[in-house]
Amino acid sequence: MDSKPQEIRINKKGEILVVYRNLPGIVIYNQNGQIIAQNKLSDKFDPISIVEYKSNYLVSDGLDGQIYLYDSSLNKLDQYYGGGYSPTNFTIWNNLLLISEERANRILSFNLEIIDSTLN
Amino acid sequence: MLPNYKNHIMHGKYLIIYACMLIPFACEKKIKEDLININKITVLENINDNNSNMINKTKPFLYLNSSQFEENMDNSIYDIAVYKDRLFIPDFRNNKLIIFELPDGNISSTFDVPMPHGIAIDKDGVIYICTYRKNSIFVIEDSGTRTIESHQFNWPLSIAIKDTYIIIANYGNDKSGNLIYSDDGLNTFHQFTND
Repeated sequence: MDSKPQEIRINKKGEILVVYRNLPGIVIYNQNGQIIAQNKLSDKFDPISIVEYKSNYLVSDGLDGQIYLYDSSLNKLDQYYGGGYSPTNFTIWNNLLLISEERANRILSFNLEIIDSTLN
Repeated sequence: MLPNYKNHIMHGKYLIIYACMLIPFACEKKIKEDLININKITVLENINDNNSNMINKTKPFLYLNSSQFEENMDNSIYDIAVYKDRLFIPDFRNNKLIIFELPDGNISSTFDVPMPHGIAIDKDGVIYICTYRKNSIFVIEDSGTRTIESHQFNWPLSIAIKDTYIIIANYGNDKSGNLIYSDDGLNTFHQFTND
């Protein structure tokens, strides 16, 4: 994909997760560089980060500041309010999603049970 | 003796010029405030969208450089990682890696790192940080710190590690970036895809 890779992660299966900007998209590669799944997003979506959660993926949007939930095939399942100050990235600790922000001096937490309620 | 009106007029002139110079800054601040307020209004409108997920369910976990939230104190945190009850935060604005103890949130240690962006920690606790436009990977391990440079780094933004496999996203200083990987401890790099 001719675009700007912004974030890269490796999931539990060893697959490579990449979010791209400009030509926005989410791509899952195997370790040979072959595309397993991809979602070409509209130019109204600016994907900043991706994290795996229970074989699904959370992606932050730099334009609307929300957090989007995708399934393992990158189909959108749900979206969540991201805190209001440009969420940039995530990590998971215990039952919390910790969220970093660009325009604030804080780290936020988001209870993963809220996402579980979507997945169940 | 007559007062020196000429000097007074000159001072007044400079005051007007000075005031005119400040107006754009004041306008810019107001525009930024308006943009923030617009974002808030948009979010509030979304709450009425019959989607309960648009209600703010986030909670402050910890604050940086302060004991409280300070609106628009822009730390520019672009990545975050956890390893063994330590929270790792590359503070891009202040050129630091800050390590917090979990769950209490006390600062465990800090390191000076230029333009820290993406971070990854391997299974042995070695910390790798992309330094974006500095075109290097900053490594922190028990024996100390080191900086890895390569002509294949092109504004590295993000890094991921699984066992000995390390992959890096180069954002690129022109229209496209690329992905490179190393399986020998960052000694050599290979192109992951042709993008």
